[in-house]
Amino acid sequence: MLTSKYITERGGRMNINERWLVEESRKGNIEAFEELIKDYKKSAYNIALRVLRNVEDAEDASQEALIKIFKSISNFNMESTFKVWMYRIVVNTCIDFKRKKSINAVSIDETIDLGSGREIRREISDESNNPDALIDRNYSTQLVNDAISKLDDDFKTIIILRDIKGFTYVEISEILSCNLGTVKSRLSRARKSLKELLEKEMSGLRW
Amino acid sequence: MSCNEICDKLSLYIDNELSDEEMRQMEEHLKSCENCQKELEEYKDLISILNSLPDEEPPEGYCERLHEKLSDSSVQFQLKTEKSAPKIKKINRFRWLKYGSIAAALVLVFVAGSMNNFRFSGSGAKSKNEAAYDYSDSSAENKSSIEAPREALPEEERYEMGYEGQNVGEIRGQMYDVNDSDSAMITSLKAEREMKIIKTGTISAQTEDYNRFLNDLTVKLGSMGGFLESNNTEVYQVYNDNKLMYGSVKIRIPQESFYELIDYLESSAEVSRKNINETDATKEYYEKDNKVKNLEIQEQHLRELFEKANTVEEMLLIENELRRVRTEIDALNISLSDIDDRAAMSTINLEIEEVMTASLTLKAKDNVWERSKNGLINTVNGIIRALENLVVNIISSSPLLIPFIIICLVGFFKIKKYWKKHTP
Repeated sequence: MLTSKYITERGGRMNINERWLVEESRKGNIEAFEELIKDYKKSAYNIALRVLRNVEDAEDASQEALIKIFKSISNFNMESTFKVWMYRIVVNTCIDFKRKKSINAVSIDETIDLGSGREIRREISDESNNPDALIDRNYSTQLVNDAISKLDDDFKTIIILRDIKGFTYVEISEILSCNLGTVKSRLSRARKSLKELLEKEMSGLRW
Repeated sequence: MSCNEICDKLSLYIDNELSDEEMRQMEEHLKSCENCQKELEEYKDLISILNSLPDEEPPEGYCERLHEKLSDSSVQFQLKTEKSAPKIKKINRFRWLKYGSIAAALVLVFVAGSMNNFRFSGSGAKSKNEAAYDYSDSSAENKSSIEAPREALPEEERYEMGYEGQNVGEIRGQMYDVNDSDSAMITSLKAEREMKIIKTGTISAQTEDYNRFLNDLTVKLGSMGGFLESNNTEVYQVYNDNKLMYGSVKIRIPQESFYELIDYLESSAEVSRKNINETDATKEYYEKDNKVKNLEIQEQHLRELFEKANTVEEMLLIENELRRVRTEIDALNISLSDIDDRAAMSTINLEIEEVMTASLTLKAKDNVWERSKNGLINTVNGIIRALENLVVNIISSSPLLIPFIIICLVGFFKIKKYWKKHTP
């Protein structure tokens, strides 16, 4: 009902619809909130997926974040855009989730013991010898994904926000609660680091 | 600008985040430096790939599960949507489980507690049973100590019976001079009848110190010429470390001291029930007495006949008759001596209960404030006592209770997990 009634306009700043949906969500209106996060929940999930590299964890973490957003929406003061505010919560929740999980984190190509003697070997497709992987100017999506996953959390987050999600520097500084200079230098270093990682992979491939 | 500096700023250049001055320098450098140009291209390629990285679709049912969780959290907003109903049900079920297990634990505590009590009273391990039979004015003392067969605590469970001279069979008739029987009969008929009144009392009392009370009573009885005919003492309740005693005592007291003793009992313990009974046995007594005397006369005549008997047959007949008369006299005499005994020595059946605080010490004439204060104190004491008992019961039943609670908790979490898994 709400969907048909209020067409959300995608834009950088808070529009009236979004404000109205936020107000409704504050009253505990789930449908309004779902409408509000309709366009964001997928990227929230994807951020979580990139940080946690695991479908189940990504779902748990992103949903935890969204619920946190719903519960604390009364604390949202409309100063920043809702988008920025909610991504801050998503990023922080995912990082926290990973930190909590890191105790029993598993390597991506290690065997996982499921108990009672059953083991599964993580299937990482080995495309190093596949010529098709060298399309797209030698950067395959798979390689890029692997490289991103090898980045430190700080670098990973900023790459996700800037280059994958397309946030502006100012928005990123708000999301990460740091100043613009930090964003600039961190992004530069993150990109450099990612590029080096990829080059290393590529040289390994060419060899 | 060196190539290194340029490289560091390529990222910002791509995003147009450089100042105009820096931008101009950068463009100049890039025109002349192929390496940096290549580097820039690589960065652009990388970023374009990153920009085009496809978003993965959330797994199936993501939105439904999210909605479920949102509904959960909206319960806190007290917003009741239709879909949140099953969740509430679930919560209620767990609440039921939680309170149910608490209730079960409490039931267990009380069962364990009552089992404790049962053990004390049931096995009788702590009951004291003493009985003393004392037949006065006897010289022979015959004490025997019999060990009860299944005794765990011999010093407490002693069954002591003292027999002191049995004069029950004493036959009054023998005291009469056979030769004087006629005149004795006349005097007895003419003599002023002595009243034969049997006094019995039943008293229930409470005391704070059972043993002291009983000792005092024994001393008092000794001075009055009475005695404890039987004493049956048992522990009827254990309060913390205090054993509360209950005793059923049979007192024999010379009838002239009967009321004195009752007064004494009333002053030394809290009498909750008193029942005094006086039975006039005078008529019954003298009827039996006359019968005895007539039978004795008859016996006398039979003896005279016996002297005159000539044949064995006659002698046997008379002897049979004599034996019959003698038995009748003996029976009547036993009855008479019993009445004598009961009239001379009154009986008091005393039930004594040991209490923590003599609840009847409250003066009924206290004013309202005093009474309500005491009532309050009693209530508070009662609550404290109940809590103490609860703690004692919980601790004493902890070997049972702790595994039970652990099982409950494990079960609770298993079920919770199960529900979490099987509710979308």
